[in-house]
Amino acid sequence: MASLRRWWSGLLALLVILPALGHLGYALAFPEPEEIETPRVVQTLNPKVGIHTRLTDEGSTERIARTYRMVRQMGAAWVVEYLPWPYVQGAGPDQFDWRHADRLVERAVMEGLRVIIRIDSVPAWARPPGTTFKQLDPEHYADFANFAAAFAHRYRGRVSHLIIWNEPNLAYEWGQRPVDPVAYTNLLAASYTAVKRVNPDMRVVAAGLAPTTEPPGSPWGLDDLLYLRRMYQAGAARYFDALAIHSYGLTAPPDAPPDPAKITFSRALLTRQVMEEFGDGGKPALITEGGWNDSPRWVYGVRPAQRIAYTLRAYQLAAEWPWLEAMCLWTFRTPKPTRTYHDHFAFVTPDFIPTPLYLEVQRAMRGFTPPPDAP
Amino acid sequence: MENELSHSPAPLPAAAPPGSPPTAVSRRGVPRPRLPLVPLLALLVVAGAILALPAPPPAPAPVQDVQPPHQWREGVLRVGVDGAYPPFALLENGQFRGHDVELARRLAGHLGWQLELVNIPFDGLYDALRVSRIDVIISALPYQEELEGTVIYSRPYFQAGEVLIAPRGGALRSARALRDQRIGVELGSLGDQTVRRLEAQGARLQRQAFDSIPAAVAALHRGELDGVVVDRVAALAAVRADPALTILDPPLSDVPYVIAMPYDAPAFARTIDEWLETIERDGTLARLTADYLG
Repeated sequence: MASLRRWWSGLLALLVILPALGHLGYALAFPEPEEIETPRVVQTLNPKVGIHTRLTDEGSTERIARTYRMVRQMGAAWVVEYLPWPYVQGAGPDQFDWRHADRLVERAVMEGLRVIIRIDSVPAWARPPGTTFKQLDPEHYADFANFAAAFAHRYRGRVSHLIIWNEPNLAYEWGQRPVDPVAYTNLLAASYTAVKRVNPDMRVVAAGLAPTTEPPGSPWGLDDLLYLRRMYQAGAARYFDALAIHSYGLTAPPDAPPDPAKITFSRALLTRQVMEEFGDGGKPALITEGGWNDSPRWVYGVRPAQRIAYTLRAYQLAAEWPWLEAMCLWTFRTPKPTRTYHDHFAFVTPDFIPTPLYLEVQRAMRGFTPPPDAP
Repeated sequence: MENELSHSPAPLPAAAPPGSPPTAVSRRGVPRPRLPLVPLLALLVVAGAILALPAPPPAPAPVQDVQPPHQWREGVLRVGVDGAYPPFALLENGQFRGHDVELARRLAGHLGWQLELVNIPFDGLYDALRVSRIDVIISALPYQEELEGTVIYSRPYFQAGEVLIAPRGGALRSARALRDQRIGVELGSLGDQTVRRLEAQGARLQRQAFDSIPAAVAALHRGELDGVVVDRVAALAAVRADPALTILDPPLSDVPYVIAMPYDAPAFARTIDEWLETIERDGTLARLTADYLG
């Protein structure tokens, strides 16, 4: 009898211990997420403030997350990022690799940011051999449009604006060929039509043009105001929901009066005039690049204090311009130092040290300077 | 200077000199050397012992300076310099002048070569070096750790980092362990960034930002500040303009200016380093800095 009792006791102990061990093993093999993240909310006094990040070559998820966190902590509500077409469809027209794009969009959305994505560049299979990655011929416009549509479908509700191409009024950006506003309008039309078919809510944004005064026939490009007029004359108005503007100040302050013969920040007002001239004043515009540079070794650099003052004033102007939806200045950070004046556009260093400009914008947009370890 | 290491090629076989051992004739009538048997056996034993040992690692290939055809052979030193960055280099009316221009002149003189100054915007200097358009860069070039392995940098010839200036003989004697001082900076500058970093590290400072360095220095003169943090070039200019000011040690950041050379010219780099060491030791470099920077 005693041995039977011992037998039952052993069995009961096994029944208790084995499931516990099993649960422990399962927990070790399939750990629960440490914490379920909820999207954060941007706190800012100016909801039009944004910044262009530069995560194209950033391979680290941690650094991507840190970038967007610091953008939010600065008080910026918008981000622009560039997604090269070959990153997604580099292997061929039937293959899509969304891993990099997923990481960007997921982390930006988790930080509560409004995401604008610019797409351009051409995979090797979609261009003739020996051409630059910026050459897209009309026979592949449909391929590009399909990519744009696939993007719009995948990121429905998470990405609000899609910019089609970059600065097509520069020969470099147009595959080292003479620029062609009519051809770009055709590309825009193909992309717009394809995107709207799968995601009518996606705002299709016409490319930001490079601010330049290059005359017709120049091998380098074409005056942005003239190029925009030719786009309108080609019927572009029907094929975009908003216009991107690149607005660099060079050495002039933001309130310098606009002059068609000069590159100033206020050239954005001239671009706006062209929109109104063609009856398109009901559409918004977004500044998706722009700002000042404080390199002491660049002829267009300003003093650091000027850069801060001009930047704060520009963000203030964004709030005052009702037609402007957002102002995203260039640029938040580069993954590595460029060792050129480009480093002096950045708001934080490659190792994430905030510049005084970042801290001053943060103070202006949030009304205070949060501690460095703030979430 | 031709190659980094002169190395003699293996000697070609020569005709047997007079006094060589006489030759014997083989059974087939082919002449063969008549060698003493005992030394030959000893040689075989030694050779066997050597073969039994593990093979030594292959000798490293001799390092050579691969020199552009223009360089050195014609005794010309082509120096890349950005002529828009005084007081280091300024190109005006076709004439270069400045600290780095003089440094380049002295280097060429030391080498006994003709100097050719090539005006290149700062952003294009490395590319010009890479494609051998120039032989060296002497142009207020900050050391870039990430470029080690693609160029050779000399030892520093100037420290351009941030320093603290203060009234000579005043209460502030050192830039170490700052606490509660009123420190002026140019808003947005690296000096500003440096002081903010010190604050973030726990230094209790009263940082006051100004629109320009002269405005900050003027406030220092008025006694509204205890010190101003600026880059060393601006500090030297301020101290030269007003001997009542002084630069306090230690520097607050490290921004050494260096000479950059092609990666495949290590012997030339050593020559430059030795020369820089010499002119630093004999006071030439300090006098050059004083002449152009204060």
